Amino acid sequence: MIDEAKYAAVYSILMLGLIVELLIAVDRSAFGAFAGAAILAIAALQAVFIFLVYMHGRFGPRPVTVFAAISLLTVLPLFIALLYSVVMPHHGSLP
Amino acid sequence: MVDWHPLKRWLFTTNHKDVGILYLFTSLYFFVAAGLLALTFRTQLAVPSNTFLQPDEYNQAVTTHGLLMLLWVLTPLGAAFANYFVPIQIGARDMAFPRLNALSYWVYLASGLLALSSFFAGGGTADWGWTTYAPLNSTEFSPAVGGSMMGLALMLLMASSIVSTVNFLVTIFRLRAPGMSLMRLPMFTWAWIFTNLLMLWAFPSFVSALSLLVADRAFGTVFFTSTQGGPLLWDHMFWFFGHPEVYVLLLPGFGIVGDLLSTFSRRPLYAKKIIIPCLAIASILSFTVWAHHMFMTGISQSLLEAFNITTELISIPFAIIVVAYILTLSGGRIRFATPMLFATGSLGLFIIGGVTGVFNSSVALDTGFRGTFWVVGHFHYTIVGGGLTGLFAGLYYWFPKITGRMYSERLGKVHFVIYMIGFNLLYFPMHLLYDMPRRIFTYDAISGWGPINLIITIGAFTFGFSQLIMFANLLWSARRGPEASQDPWGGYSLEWGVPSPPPEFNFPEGVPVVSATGVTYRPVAMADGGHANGSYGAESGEEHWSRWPIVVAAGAGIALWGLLMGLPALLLGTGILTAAFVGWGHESLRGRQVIEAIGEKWPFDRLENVSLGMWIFIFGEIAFFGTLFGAYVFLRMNSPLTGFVWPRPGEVHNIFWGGFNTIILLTSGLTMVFALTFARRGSYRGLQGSLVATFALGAFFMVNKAFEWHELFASGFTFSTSTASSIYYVLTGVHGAHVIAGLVALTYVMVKAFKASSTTQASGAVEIFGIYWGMVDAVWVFLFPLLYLL
Repeated sequence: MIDEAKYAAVYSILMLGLIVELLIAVDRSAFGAFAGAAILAIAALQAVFIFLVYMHGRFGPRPVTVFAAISLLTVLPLFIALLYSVVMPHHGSLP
Repeated sequence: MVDWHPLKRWLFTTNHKDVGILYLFTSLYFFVAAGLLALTFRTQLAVPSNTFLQPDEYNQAVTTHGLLMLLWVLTPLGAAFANYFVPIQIGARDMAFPRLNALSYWVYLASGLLALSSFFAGGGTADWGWTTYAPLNSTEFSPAVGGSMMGLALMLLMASSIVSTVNFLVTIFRLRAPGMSLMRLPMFTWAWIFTNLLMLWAFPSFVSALSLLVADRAFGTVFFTSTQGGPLLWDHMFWFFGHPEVYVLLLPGFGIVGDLLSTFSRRPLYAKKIIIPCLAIASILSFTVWAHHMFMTGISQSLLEAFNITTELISIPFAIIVVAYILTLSGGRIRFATPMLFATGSLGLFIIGGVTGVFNSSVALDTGFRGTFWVVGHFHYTIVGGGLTGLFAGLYYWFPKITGRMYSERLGKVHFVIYMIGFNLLYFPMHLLYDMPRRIFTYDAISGWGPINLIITIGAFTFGFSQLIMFANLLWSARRGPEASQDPWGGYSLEWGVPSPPPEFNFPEGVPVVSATGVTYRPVAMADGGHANGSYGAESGEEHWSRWPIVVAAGAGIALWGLLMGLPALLLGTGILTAAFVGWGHESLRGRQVIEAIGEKWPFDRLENVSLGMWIFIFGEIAFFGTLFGAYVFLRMNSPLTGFVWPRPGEVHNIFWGGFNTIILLTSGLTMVFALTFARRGSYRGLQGSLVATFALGAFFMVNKAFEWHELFASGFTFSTSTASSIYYVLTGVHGAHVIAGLVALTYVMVKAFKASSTTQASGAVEIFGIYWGMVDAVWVFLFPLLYLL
């Protein structure tokens, strides 16, 4: 029953995250400019829980985590370049 | 009576050596096709104001030449050698998943046939250049259906490559012979590891870009025709794949050259412990240099500086490797047989390509060279000189092992001499045409480019002629050449310790055990407690066959062709595909189509082959969805600058509908992990109930999604309304496709679970599917806030 309890606990955390996301989205004023960042942070935490408990924690060893992190890091430069291509107009503009 | 046995062997084989030979012949076939296309447009450019080709024919010939050579020739030629030799070099009896290996090949062939058939689809094939730049790739400028067909062919090819990548990485990480540590792997296998890691992370991003392109062309989305996305978005997404692709093309030949320099100079490879980290550094850096192809696009000065630096940096590990290769020759007793001539030739040509590449990394110089024949000369020295020449070295080197016969050394040397003369006549003068645009179909005599272009065309025909000598030599020698010994070159890797050609399961004396002093062989302990020699029991080649890989590939090819050409073909292809998957699912795997690990497995000792395969697939999925999320961020951030107002949360999408669907999907994740718990605990009822609940919740999610799409369409929020609608439909569409694929797979798992005699029998399939379903959940937890809440 320990496994079931663990999974149910993670499910509760995921649901709690969802509720908090919805609350922030409905009333953004409390969070101001950080509302978007807060929602994305909750989503990232939800994904980490799914990965560690639903996927990785049960099924795989540490090298999987390392490779998954490398996979994320691989697309990081693309994100940075895409952002810099639009959000720094004082350094240049779109063609 | 006709003996169908040989034909059946080649259609149904899953043996890695047979698959390697199939790759070899097919890639050389595409090499001839792409080469003939090159000769046609070089004929057109030979003299000023030529009318040999019309402009649209010229554009189609150049585009198809580039795409075929890069994607259907060079990478698969490397895959041919990797299929044949990597399992032997690591001491394995086959690939980890032989049937998937055959599938990769047949899907590759289907994609190539789809690409070639696009010429005849009405209006010709793609004519936008191999870089497929926006807005040339739009239906406005390239309306021919052949262009869309090429896009689908590319997606199919990427699918084949990704499946192959998963298979190779599992094979190399999990199936090494006892004592075959990673550091003992030959350079070719090392290069193939990095090639596959690059494919794993770069190819999915190209699939993302192609998904958006096909959506634009087929469904009217506006990614590359809007001001929020446009050419810059395509450039980033394409080159993020395109530059790592350069190393995908280069590294296999580079690895072969390393092994050959060592073998033919009779010295160990100099500084191998430094070369391998350099390959790793170069592979990592290859994901940080792509925007040097975009110096002229108007991206910010900061990016120009950053990519200038990273591009110069990447030359350092390659310079170290080249120096190490040259030092390997120092003091060696060098034997200049044909493979060694091509290996040293490859190294020399690559150095020229590398040096001219450093010029292009400079923003100032690139501003002058961009879009001229200088660039064409540079990348052909790198890719053809460093990549293809190295692969040809491998072709001569391994020819005796594959055929059991020696080729004509004299003809080989004649080939090399004419090859080098033709190559340098063809590509070196291109550097002198640094003022001639590369994308024009003709030019005036007054430009003064005529004489150099004529020399280049003479070089092209000389280069093409030299290949005829090679084909004649190898085809004749395969039948009539003198018999080859087991090790004609004094090679040190494991393939030279087995007969030429190797027997079906590679090692007739048993499992190779590798140590610092050499290789010994020991009999294999079988699952039934007995022992067998290297044939691993009485399996014959026929038992190794599977008819389903070719049927799946045929179904996929016909379905994609039908997607553009008509409903009957689409239905036929889908029907074949469905039947093939059912047949595939019914085939028994264990012992025949899944090869068990018996030796070195670091760093994945604790995973089963299939689990690791699923994880590696998911690593690729991270790149796929990551690139799509990147596109979303770009479109969103770009909106205010282009005057587009992104819909506010709740304005278009119903937040609570999305939230409800999120609850459904997350709940299905919970029932899925419960299924595994019940399977391991031996509870039939729990297992079956959990699987049925997962299926029902997943299906309910999709039904809800379909209703949501219907409502949105009815309200006027269609594919082409705006970039916000386009990205919404693509993101939820590809995620939905993953859910549907999951439901299909789950059906298979359920059948297995309901039929299994014990729940532990089904737990493996449940575990592997659980990993996939977790990924589907994890992607959605990002999609929901991005699309509904922000």
